[in-house]
Amino acid sequence: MIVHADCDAFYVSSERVFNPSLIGKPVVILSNGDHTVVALSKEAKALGIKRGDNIKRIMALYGHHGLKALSSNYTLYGDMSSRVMEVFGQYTPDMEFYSIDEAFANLYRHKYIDLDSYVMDAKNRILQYTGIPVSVGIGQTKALAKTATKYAKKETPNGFYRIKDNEDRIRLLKWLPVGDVWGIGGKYEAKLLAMGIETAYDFSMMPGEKVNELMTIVGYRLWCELNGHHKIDFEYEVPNKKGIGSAKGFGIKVTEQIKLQEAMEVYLSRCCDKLRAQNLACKHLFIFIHTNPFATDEPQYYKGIEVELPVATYHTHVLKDEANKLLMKIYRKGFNYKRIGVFLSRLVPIGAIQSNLFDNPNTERNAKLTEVLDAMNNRYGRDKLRFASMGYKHDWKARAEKLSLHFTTDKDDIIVIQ
Amino acid sequence: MEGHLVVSKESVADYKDGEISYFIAPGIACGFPSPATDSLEVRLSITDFFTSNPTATFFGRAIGSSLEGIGIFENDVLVIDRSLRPLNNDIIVMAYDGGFTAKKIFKERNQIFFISENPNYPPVEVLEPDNLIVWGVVSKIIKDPRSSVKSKYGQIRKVI
Repeated sequence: MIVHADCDAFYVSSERVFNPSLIGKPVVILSNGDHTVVALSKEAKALGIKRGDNIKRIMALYGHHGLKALSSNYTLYGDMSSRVMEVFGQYTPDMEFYSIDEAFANLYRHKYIDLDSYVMDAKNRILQYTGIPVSVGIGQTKALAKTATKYAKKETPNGFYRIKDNEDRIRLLKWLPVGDVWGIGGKYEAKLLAMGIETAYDFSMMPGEKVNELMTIVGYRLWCELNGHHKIDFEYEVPNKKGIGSAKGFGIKVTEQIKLQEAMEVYLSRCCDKLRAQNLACKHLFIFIHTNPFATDEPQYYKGIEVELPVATYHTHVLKDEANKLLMKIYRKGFNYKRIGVFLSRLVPIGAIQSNLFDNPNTERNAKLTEVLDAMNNRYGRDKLRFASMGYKHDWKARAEKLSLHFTTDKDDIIVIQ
Repeated sequence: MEGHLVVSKESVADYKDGEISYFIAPGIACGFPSPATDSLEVRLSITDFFTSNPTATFFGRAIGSSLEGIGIFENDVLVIDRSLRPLNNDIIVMAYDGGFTAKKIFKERNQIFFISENPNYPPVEVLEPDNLIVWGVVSKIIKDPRSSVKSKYGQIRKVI
């Protein structure tokens, strides 16, 4: 049997663990820059708020209902996610971390236990240890387990459901609108609805070849899974990333090159941290800048530029110099810039870097510099040792005015007890 | 060969006023190896005393003086283990008035009491024990003996 666990309103739940005043209230979590809603509590859903809604609009509409809005605190959510996954992992080693708030577990080997009470025990323990409520579904395949979780969230009082037999499977599939099936959305939903396919059950009764034709192999696999045949394997390890990028909007209009450069170097430094954390180096660097496409009364400019490095590198200072050369080429005066992005790709393991004849004679010095940089910052905190050009003021940063504290990762931010 | 002296190039270059400095290279194996090498273990760390369940462990800082009766003073750091089931005389953390408070609890049959350990405040009975939500159990209290000095005088004064 496959078990699927999904945290209930994960971002809001994480905030509520450390701020009990949010319990029972409509709460929304805002996107980077505090513009739109990325996550919301069920109380906020009940008011009619949806993901993607503009914060100013919903505050005007629902502010008097006691609506609380918070900036997204990914440091907190990341730590709470690993706590949830650690507890879940105590029940079986055979699991896949599907996303920040979802996981699958394979319990085929657990033949001689009462599955329902085992899974309920896990669910209760996650709540007790971490304060995060999770819903759990059990089914024959990953797609069916996910369907069971959806059903558990909406239709059961205790947030748990197991698909018992074939009749039960059919009942749940008839309950699930086709647009809510895992992976079906947008254009496929419209196509299927036009063909009179309204529920997951209708979809599962289509001829397999037809599904394959319409929705490629991906849709076909899903169709098999809904019919109880395994087709979507567990992914135990996160596949090696194709690239590492960071692109964020500014909180203010940025016109000067020096500020663009500062922001670019900060984002680049984040990317380089991630690169080295995975023991990778990159051979390709891409940067872009653009104005605000929604400010239609302002002159618009968009430009991206890339460079292939002669030798793959993982050094922040080497990439920083390359990125600055690129920025110099594409920067134009007289525009209000809204966003800058950095993207590192053609990743190779550090041990597999191929040098060439024109290799930098400073290889050893570079390695030492980066080693010291990382050692210092690991010990004293991110960016404590930094390139002066990364600056300190960072007034271009997107707003995160309603950010809660780093309750679990910063000793100055722990909860206060009176 | 115990006490074998190695004169390194660097130390030779450091000669000052005819003074000779010897430099014992630590990496050269000579003399007896330490008899303790087979018995070396990892040095104790502060965390060894605190928690057996880091996944369920959170931290909080006490402020104010209302918890002094149960031994918690301003600036104490509470180690809160959510995996523990509360027992009699445990100090628990619970949500209160939008924030957090700590209470020492005592259970007798179906009644639960908060004990303040202060002669002026008798135990308080929890009226709806089923609705009592325990956020976590305090498993350790970290005290900084200097923190009270800090808060009294603003900072520690140097006493020679």
